[in-house]
Amino acid sequence: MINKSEITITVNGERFNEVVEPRMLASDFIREQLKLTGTHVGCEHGVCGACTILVDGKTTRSCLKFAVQLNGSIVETIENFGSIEKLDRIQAAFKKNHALQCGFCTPGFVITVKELLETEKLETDEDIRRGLSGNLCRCTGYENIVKTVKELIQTRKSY
Amino acid sequence: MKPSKFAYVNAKTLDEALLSLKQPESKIIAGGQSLVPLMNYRLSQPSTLIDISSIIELSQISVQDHKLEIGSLVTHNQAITSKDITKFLPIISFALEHTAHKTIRNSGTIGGSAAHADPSAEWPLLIMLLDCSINIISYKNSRTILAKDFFISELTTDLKEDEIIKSFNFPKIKQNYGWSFEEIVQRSGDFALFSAGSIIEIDHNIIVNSKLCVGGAGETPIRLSNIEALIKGKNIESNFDNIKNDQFLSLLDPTSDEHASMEYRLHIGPQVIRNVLINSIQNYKDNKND
Repeated sequence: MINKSEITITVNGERFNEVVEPRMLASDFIREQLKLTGTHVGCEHGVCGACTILVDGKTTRSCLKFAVQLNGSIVETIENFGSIEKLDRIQAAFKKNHALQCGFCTPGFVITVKELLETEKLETDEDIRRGLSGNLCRCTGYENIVKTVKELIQTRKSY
Repeated sequence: MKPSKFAYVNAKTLDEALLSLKQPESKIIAGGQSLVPLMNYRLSQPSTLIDISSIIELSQISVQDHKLEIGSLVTHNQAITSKDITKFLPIISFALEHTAHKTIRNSGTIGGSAAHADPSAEWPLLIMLLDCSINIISYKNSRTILAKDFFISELTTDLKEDEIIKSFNFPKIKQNYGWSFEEIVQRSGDFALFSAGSIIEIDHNIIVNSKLCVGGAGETPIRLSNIEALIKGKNIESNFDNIKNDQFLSLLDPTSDEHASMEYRLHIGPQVIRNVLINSIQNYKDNKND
């Protein structure tokens, strides 16, 4: 017998009551059921970091969680980070420093960088590179992403 | 890349989880960082998935007279930031910084890592290194098993189908000691090609006891009991120069995979092991001078 579950979840400040099949990955739930397609699906086994979201304030690979496990959680996706008219500071820094090309990995990077800035000292380039090592980018060679994070460190209020 | 169908149980208590485990082909999920990739590839196809992540009693870290007890749901990042762990067994916090990436460490748990039993992962090495015993519970009874009896081979443990790991007992180290951990990886966050950890207990500049364990060197983490016996009673200035590479390698049984050959692992092994021994002595000296 396969049960379906009703879940209540807050995504980007909006409350949703949804019915999900247990095997539905959180990444598919966010993209296909909530139609929030900013969360990208790359490898689907926790290697590339493109599907990174915030669950109760902590970064999470949405391809390694089932939607049913998010019941009662507060979720934040890239859609909550600013708009085309008004980018948030991390997005603006990525744009300014050419830290993206095709943009596929960028939502995951932006969310990862937000957590890094809030929780890590990031004293050296090596610290930054280690912090970013869970997210893959096939365009930039990472140099401009590291440069972006260094710039953001200068202007962060606290961590 | 989608899991096969399963029924989901969100267990609120240990009893509920243990009762659900009676169903055929049921599987426990905690952080899911090893299990869900296997499910996405359909290498694992449980009929019932029992989520234990909301059983709060399993996520505690408690300090007792002779040990630290770490609940099976304690995440890697929870362990890294625990003041108690950093105070009594700092090697744990240090080694876990090497486990995957921060995002994975937000979800991944000690119980999940031990049950998955990857011989190149950090938690299994630490559990074996630190003479940990493991508290296991089933619906009928409970038992405590030593790490050396728990890890059987690659991805295989002594855990039975109806059992759940409850917690891990890490004995405190009474003697003054130095510690070190080192691993070789292709990229930060990868599984170790070879790893080693050591604890060297010292009294009046003499090594009175030691623990030495390697990962990525066989089917389970391996304690190098021959080296432990060899250095006992030695002065800390002896530098381990008299230990030959063959002696470091005699208990190892690495294999080749897509990341590194057996020959490469045997080549870097002695150097990494020597490093952790020397660095453990240095760590002892540094702390003594503080």
